[in-house]
Amino acid sequence: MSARTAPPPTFALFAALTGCTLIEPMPGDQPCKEVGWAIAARTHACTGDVALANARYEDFTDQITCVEWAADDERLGNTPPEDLFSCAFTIRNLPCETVAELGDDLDAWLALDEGCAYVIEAEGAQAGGAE
Amino acid sequence: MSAALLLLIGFAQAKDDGFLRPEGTDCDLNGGNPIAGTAGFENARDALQTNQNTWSATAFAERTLFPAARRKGAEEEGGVAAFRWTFTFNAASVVTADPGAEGNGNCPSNYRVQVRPLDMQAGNIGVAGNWGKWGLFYSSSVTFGQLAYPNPFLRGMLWVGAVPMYAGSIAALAPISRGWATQEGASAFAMDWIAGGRYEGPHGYARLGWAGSRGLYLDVGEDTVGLGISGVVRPSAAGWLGQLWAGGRRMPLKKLAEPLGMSSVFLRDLSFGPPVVESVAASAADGGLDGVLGGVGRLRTLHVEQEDIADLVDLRVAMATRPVSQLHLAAAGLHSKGFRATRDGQAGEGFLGQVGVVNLPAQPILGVDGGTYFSARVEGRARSKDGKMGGGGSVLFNDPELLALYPFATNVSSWSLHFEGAF
Repeated sequence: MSARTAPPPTFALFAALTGCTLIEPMPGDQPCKEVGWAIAARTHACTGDVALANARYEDFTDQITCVEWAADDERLGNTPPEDLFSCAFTIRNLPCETVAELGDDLDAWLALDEGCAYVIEAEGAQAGGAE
Repeated sequence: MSAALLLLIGFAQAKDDGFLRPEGTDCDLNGGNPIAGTAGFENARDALQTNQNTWSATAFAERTLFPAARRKGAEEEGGVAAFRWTFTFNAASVVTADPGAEGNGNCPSNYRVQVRPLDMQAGNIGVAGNWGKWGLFYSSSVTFGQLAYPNPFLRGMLWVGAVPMYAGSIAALAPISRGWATQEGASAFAMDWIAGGRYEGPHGYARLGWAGSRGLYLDVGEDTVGLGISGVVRPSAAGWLGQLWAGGRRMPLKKLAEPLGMSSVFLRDLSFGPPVVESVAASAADGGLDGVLGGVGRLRTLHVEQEDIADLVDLRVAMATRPVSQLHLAAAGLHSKGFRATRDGQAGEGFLGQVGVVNLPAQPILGVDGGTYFSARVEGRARSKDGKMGGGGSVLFNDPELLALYPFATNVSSWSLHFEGAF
């Protein structure tokens, strides 16, 4: 979904001719972008309002800085994968009443799960999470 | 088939990190552990549902079985059997954990968290017989999907051998199971069937059947203009019609102005992700079409098509009104003369080629960044000299039709084969 490392030309040709797409390492900013996508998706699911969902995603990308994951990174490299995505998971499973209460308060969204601090450098995320 | 097997043996014996055994080949064979909460995981589940709807027993009957079996006002006895297999690759990309990726074999440690494509398959079998203007029909579907094997050898074995046999044999027995579906993580398996009676008169047709997924299937139309309506009555909280097609198909504008070809104008409505909560769905179903079909969680499109312009060119435009109002599809194709079937059941043959560029908008709801992508479509059909046997195939790559079905996909392709024979 997000931008990936470009495959070698032979692989790209192979993929185009056969429909075969190869597995790839996860892009480093994927866990962070998943949080923004989760906010947009949950907003849409609870309101049916595409414009509002898109606006909240734009606020997210404007206000936060992503922490990039790498397999050899001392802090995040050995973090269990499920912890990298716990922030997105929590947001995608919020009750609609909570979504309505959170509204446009991005810091409040990011304070819901301590896993948000693994992948996002933001004031709200720092309030709850990891070092 | 033997060439394909030789190719697969080549995959199995190739060297690491080469063309045939790319990096990641030795990662978890069984799909790793797809991570819930990610957009790819949700998209995969939507894609599996769409695969089930698109290659359903009703869709197969309307696209393949009924056109082949159409005997307009026929008096003789006879019938048609038809088969179709469809393989769709990379409909979604799913973030997956692979605890075994520690540099062993051809699976380096940076594959500990990886992105895997979703592969999906569908098999359809159907038969229709008639005694004069009256007849019976049976149409079945088996659809399933899973995260791709990282090993091209095993992935190829699944496409070449297992899927056609697996899908074909199970589809034939679908009524025994009543029709059911199951989904676990980013994998799914579903089967459905419809069976019923049909009337093929000199001025129109009517088909009435029961769907194994618990719904009443109805398809009626007339031949003078080409108007028709079909749907599955399946009540839910949001509406009572599970799917709908209504409008005019291949209307004979050709009679008025020969080079202009045949016109189609129709409305289509299908169940479609991303999901919304039930109370939102119920409140959106506030009358009119929304009261019948549901106001959200639907893909509702209005199509205008002009086929066989100068016997060579097809033009298609579609606007979506649900889930959002936007241009849904714009495509132009070039085909050989006689490629399109006639409305009275004479199947077409020849080839069609179509290339283009598609522009996908960013859709954060679906975890899609958007961009511009190359699109291509190739189709071919052939028939025996006596016209009793026929078949064809198609390859679609980023085709607008595919991207409409899987709006979260980039570089999605679909391969399809079908055969039919008259008796």
